[in-house]
Amino acid sequence: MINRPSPRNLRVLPALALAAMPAGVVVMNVGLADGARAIRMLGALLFFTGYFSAMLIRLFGPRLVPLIGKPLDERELLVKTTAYAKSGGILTMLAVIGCSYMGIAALMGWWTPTRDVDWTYLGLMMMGGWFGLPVLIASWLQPLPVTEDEE
Amino acid sequence: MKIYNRIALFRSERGTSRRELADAVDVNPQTIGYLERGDYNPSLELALKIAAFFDVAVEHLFSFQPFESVAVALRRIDAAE
Repeated sequence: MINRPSPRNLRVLPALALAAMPAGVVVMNVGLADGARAIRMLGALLFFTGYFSAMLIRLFGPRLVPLIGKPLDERELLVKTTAYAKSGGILTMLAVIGCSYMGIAALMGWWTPTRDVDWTYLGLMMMGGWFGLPVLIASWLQPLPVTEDEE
Repeated sequence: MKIYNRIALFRSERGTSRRELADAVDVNPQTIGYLERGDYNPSLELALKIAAFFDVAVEHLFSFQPFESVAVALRRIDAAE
């Protein structure tokens, strides 16, 4: 007998983790412009809280990874493939928009990532998005759990 | 397209829990709950497995049209007799 765990929904929590990453980068850049170390530290704290939350939240969201003796059933596989396909599309769109912005920003004199640390945080944000976005989408794709009252 | 089903009715009649049915057809118990609630349409394979579990034809369990309730069916039978 396979004893599968009940699916869990997080709904908006992954969105908070994802939003914390760009917010942290903005705060860090404000701190760099002002020369305020405390603001830079606050930005870094916000960024890494979002980054590590995005990685860890998948453990508490809808099941996306099969476990030994606990494979994903057809509905869970459908949720997983849809969530990854949609998040892949969104991340690709964001990368295209980012590249387009940088092409225009270079001509207009707007901010562009120039330092190593900017690229590092951009890379980490993409990774955080890759971890957290499927959990966010899967949380919305999955209906609310059926309660025992409906038994 | 919504697919209506009578899984809960058959399960209740058999005294089978969601977990027992889920284990028999190799899915998560929540998937059975979503099926009964109409939140998820099963694959043909899962529909056939559930029909085989209850030993009925698949069209007795799943339909594109809403099933009539037991009360309505009994009244119809009474009227016919």
